[in-house]
Amino acid sequence: MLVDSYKIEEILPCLADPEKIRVIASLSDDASEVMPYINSIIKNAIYIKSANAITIPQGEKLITIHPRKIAITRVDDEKEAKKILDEMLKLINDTYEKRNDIEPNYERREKPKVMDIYKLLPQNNCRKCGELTCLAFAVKITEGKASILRCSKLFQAEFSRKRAQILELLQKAGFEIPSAFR
Amino acid sequence: MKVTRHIYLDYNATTPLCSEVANVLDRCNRLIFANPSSPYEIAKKTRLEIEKARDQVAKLINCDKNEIYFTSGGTESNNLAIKGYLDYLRNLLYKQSIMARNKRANLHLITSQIEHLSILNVFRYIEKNYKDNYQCMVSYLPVDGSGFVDKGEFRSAIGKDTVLISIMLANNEIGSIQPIEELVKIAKSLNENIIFHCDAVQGLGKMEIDVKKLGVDLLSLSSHKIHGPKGVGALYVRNGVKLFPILHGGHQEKGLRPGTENVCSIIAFGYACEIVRKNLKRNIDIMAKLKEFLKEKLIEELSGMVDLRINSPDKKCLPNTLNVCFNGVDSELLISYLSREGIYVSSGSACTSGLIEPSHVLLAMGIEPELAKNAIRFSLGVENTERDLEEVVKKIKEIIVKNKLN
Repeated sequence: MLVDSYKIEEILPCLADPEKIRVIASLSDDASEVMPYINSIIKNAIYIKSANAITIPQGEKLITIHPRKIAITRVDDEKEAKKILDEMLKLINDTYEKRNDIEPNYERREKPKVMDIYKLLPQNNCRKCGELTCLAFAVKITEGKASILRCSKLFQAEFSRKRAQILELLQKAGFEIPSAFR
Repeated sequence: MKVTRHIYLDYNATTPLCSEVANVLDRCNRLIFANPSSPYEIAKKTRLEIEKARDQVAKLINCDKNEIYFTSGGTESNNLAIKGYLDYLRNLLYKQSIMARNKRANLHLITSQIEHLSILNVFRYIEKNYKDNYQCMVSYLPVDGSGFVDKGEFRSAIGKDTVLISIMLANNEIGSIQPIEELVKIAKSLNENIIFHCDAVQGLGKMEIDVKKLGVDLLSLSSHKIHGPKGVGALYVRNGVKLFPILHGGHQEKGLRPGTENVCSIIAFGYACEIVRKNLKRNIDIMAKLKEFLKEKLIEELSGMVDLRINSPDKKCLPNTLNVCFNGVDSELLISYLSREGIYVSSGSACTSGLIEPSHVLLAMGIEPELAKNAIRFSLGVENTERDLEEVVKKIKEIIVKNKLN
């Protein structure tokens, strides 16, 4: 067994849906080790290695496992949250038991290619983002180490179409785009 | 454990009603009920009280009282300023185009990447939906590592199509105060027809605001950030600037904001402004001292056990706002533990999807996405004491050690 138990720490209103709640539970033990295995068996999971987190969409709900906590959105009530958390605990522990038979997957699905992002950048190497070239910036973006907001030219009016394309590309790949720019 | 003492350090989110304002509100709720639009004597009393409040708001920002329009708060003021002006302008251009046979024009709008959502989402809406002959295109200006709009970037963004600029006075998350006066001068020197809107919601009560000095055309205010009631705010509209209403109805607020006035809240907002005006300098001093104390205590007590990064700028910053990253400490968990101790702070980042969304303000400043998730915003009020802050730092230390958050 990898994680012994969970404890519900917080029940908050769900910002995405006022009728629902979001729930945050802490985990008694660190679940990091099992994440690449879960990523392998759950085909629609979004694993972000740099963030050490895996998000599992379940219907309209999003369940995110962090090293020592689980966050769930759009939950009906505490009872439903407990049911999901029990399932997640079982998923974590069952996957952990079977890990020798599973090929771990460390990749984020639909990871955007550096060149796909680069193609949509202004390519003027203005260095305002702090990188020497737009290509270096594209690499940082795919690694999740820089925010697309740092490309000042992309946020000028004349780049609005390319901006929309790049934001869509990143969002599909599970990158966190600030909601104000989604 | 039952919490016996509460320490509120989230004054940028909202402030409690102060007792004088609460008394005014209570009195109004009991005694003033007549519709100010009604023709009889008791309605006149309501009208006079509203006009007094208009005068109190105007005095605080140094404008004429007929330049103040009451709204439901900061969000509505921001929407009214931006959509109201664009609707007016697009209508004007359409009328002119019939004569000139020139039926297309691109309208360029400028804002910054670190605005409040009630600005950014209005611009996003306009970008997506104002797509006819007068299509609106938006530039979102970047900020430097301390959260300031770069004047060079600002100047070069302005073109012949630029019609409207909206830049906030002070940022709600990190407290950076933008050089609005200089930005207005730059904009107007390049094109005197540009309309400049400023979201001053977070600056009110924490710094001097003089619309004449700033030179802005439109400025948004909110009551609940200055110990007034929620659900009321104002928009300053410089005499001569024309807007279309975004709500349609009666003649209230000269037709710009129809709907029976939120009478009691407007009157209470007026009083809150008057109290701020009388105490502003003293309040700024108190808040600035408290913030310095908190900053020193955090560095003194925590720098050995956790990497601290102060995100708020040293200078040109709101006197009450201190944004800090505790590297590696999940801010959502820390906030949750602190709240159980009766201490209320904010992360300054919204959680919308279960993943903690790093703040767009911190990302725009170039803070790494992972580090941005460890940000805590302390926003202080004059009611806080050094003892409170000592207690807060002590608790943060205990929580980090006890729960091995570092």
